[in-house]
Amino acid sequence: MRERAVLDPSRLRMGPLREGAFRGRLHDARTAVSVGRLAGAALVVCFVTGLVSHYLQQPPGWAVNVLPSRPVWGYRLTQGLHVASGIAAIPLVLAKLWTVYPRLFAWPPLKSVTHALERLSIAVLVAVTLLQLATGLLNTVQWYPWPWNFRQTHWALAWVLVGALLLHIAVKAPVIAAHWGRRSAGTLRLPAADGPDRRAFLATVGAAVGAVTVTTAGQSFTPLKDLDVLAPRHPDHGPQHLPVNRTAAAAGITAGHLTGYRLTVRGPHPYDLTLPQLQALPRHSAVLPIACVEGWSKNAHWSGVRIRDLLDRAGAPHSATIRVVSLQKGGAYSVMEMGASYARDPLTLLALSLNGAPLDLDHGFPARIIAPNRPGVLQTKWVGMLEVIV
Amino acid sequence: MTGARILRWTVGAAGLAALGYGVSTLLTDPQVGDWHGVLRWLVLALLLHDGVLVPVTLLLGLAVGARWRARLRLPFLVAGSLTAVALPVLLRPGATANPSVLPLDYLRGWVLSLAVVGAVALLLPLCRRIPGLRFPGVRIPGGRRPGSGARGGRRTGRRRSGGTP
Repeated sequence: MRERAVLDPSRLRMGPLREGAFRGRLHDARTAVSVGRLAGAALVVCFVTGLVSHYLQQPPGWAVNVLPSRPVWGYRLTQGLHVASGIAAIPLVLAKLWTVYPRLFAWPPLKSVTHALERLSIAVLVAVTLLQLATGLLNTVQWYPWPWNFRQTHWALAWVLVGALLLHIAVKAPVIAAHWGRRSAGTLRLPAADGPDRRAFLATVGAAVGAVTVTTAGQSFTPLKDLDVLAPRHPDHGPQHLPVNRTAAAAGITAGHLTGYRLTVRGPHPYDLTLPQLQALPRHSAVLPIACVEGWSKNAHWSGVRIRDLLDRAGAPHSATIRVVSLQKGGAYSVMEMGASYARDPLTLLALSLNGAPLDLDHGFPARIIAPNRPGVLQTKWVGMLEVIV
Repeated sequence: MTGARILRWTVGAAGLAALGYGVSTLLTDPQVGDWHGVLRWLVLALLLHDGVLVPVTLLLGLAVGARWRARLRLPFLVAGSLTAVALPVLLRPGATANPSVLPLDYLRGWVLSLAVVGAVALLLPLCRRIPGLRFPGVRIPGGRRPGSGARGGRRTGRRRSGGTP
């Protein structure tokens, strides 16, 4: 008898596992649905804009020459939203997890194989969401204290996150439906007295989302730049009032490397240009944003030579993809490929000046690529060669 | 099957497919590098959140009591979120070689943002004293309850206390 009592699993039901251990308010399904759908929406926006960024940077073969170069601010918007929705998701996810925390101690802990799998999927969802938000935020300050490759892991975990999220929505569909509105059946069964408190809680979560957004969004949404006190970038800080992702020093470029600079264009009719010859070609201007994958962006006035004029002179066909090679040594972005939709765009320039002055060395002096609707890492600096690949 | 049932199973199946693609990429893509490290960090994230962050939050709520809990929820959640977002810019070790990364005085920005949160939290209960200003259906913590007739800034009713927030 005594032995049976020792093995009785209910004896393990102690601490937070006790019945009624959580007597606080707002840990109910209606609160979970109200906060959860906002958190879910933020994560979905983050996922979709992340996909856009991934495919603009690494297009599948069939898409290389047909990626849209319009709207010019397309990538600025999607990547700004990617980082802003990720930051907004931080208070939303924390509030959602606080609401459902007592369910971590549900009794019995495991009822069946299905129940075990469901709990495992929630553990995966929670862990991956926390890690994605935290490491994404650290990436924006270029801080990588982990032993894996950020970009590819962020990509893989994004799929795990969205998969676990869809699975969670499917499993919880009846609960979500029963608590979707104020007059839904499940909501009406909850204590009516909690209504005003719940709305105050949601307003509080909204205030937190507003606070983290207005203090960071100025790094990409310039009208808010005066409130940008917590973002890793500020639109006014950088050479020629434009931030820089990779400095000349970091890329191993010094003024000495650029003496005797020549631009080489390889194609059916190859040619070389010295800097004075390049500067003497017909100039075109464009207002285009630099939009970094880390979320900051800013518009600037660029002027230089159209890429399509340089390609026409080399006798390149209109459908040609080009390879752009930087003078920088090594680095993942020292060689960049550009599809025909960008190369033929009249706004795509080999820029020689920025905001009315020659490019700063950190902005790619003597010549850099600037193209509409493209990730900043593909706006190659210190361009030494254009190569037509048919 | 009804339409809703088909939709539910479709969403679930799409979720499993995406999950499978993500896990297989994580395990097989050589560019990922060290997936054991990813797994360790995932467990660590779960332990820190479920074992430290939320219990500390709940215990703080328990310690301040039901009455103050409602008033402090706004400044706690907003200041906590601002701090979470500010941690990387405040704590990143080592100087960046790029002067346009982290160009601001972030300690100042963080303190300033928390001061604004504190000021708003102090002023908010006074909003209830402004005649004609109503937030339909929302109870402003520390303010007068709708229709209670008592002076602003004081709570007349006592909520059930005890338990975790």
